[in-house]
Amino acid sequence: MLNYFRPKTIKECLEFITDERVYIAGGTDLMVELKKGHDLSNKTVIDLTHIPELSGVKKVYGELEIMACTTHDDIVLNKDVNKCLKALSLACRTVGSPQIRNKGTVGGSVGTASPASDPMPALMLADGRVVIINKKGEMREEKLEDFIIKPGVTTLKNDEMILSLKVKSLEDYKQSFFKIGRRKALAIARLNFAMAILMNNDETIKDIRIVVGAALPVTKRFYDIEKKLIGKKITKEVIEQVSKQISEQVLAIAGPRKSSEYKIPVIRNVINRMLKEMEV
Amino acid sequence: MKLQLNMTVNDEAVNIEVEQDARLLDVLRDDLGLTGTKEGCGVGECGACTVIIDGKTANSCIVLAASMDGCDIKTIEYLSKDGKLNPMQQSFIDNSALQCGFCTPGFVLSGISLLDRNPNPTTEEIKEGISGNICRCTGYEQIIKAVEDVRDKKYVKDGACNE
Ligand code: FES
Ligand code: FES
Repeated sequence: MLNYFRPKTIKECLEFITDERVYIAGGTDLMVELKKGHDLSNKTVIDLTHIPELSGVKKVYGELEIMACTTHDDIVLNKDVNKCLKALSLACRTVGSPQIRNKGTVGGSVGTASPASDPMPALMLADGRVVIINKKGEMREEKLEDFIIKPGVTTLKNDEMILSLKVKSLEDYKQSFFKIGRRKALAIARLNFAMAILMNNDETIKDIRIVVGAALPVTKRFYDIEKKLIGKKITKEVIEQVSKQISEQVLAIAGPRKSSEYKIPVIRNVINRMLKEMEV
Repeated sequence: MKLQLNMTVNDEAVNIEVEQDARLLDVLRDDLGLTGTKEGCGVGECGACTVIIDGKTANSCIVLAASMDGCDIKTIEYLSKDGKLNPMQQSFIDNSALQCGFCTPGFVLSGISLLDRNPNPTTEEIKEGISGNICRCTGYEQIIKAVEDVRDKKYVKDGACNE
């Protein structure tokens, strides 16, 4: 028999943490696991969905702090996110279905480390960091890239929980999110893209950020490709080059799977489309 | 071990003991006899089990009942008043937006919830709004039309047809 706890505050929550803890941050994944026969007996199930401090978005010093149990729908509706990290609003809008967006949370999505997570590329776009608290109340921060080890595995220790996600405000950047899924609205992403661009007055690139997820075991930001683009103008040749480089890297990491091949022309089209959308 | 649960269901206070791992869907159907909420997939994909929790739609098959303490829940049974159907229900009938009817409670609630939030949705937005519901009988044309008709105020409040 599982042991269910529903703390009202973070402090209370920390007291419940045991080595056998399982969190409910929205339940959209956990309940499916339960249905599949995942054994939760003898587990301490800690329900995080009734802790007001764990939900909401704060804006501080050029950063947003998104509390772990903020739902995808809350993010879609949040003005600060819309302004500072549009790509995240767009990404959350594509998550699952309305019903799933109403329950599923950003912290849950990060915690389960699903490669198909939609918010993930947008969070990484903005140098996302995970804020973690342990049973003793000690906090640490880790870059998302380091936090996610492989599908379903993170560096979160048994005595820890995710408190929030911190992202840089990319207010001045043009941003875009794009996803290709199996079934239109419900699909768990098979390929998702987040991009942000900041242009100089002379139409050269001042900063560019490119993240690809879902096709890869873990979502990846293409720092090397980004770096080479700075100072360049966006020409047809440059787009072609970027598409090729990204496709090559995606294939190299994902390995030649059956579904990989179609991705090269697809990636080129997606990049073109996103650039057009951002009007750069 | 059972848990004590206090929630509001269709405007009535419910005070009930539930198993810690019981799903909201089961409590609604088995304990409260509200069988209008259906179970299709059981994994959050089909929307047959859609209910409204604190004003937002959710799949009750993936909600832990224990988690509902203090929450306000509305099911399909909430909609008709004094034997009169809600406009969305009437519109589904008039548009033949159902055959077996298994998916209908979920679609109706998704449609209502969409119009609550966005009274004037485009057809695209309606499609998006019902994207968490699957129908295996009708195809979606009639269902979309049914929501459009309510959007276009073809029904007065009591469900009778305007035209
Ligand atoms: S039964 Fe709940 S979504 Fe299918
Ligand atoms: S009417 Fe049968 S599933 Fe929709």
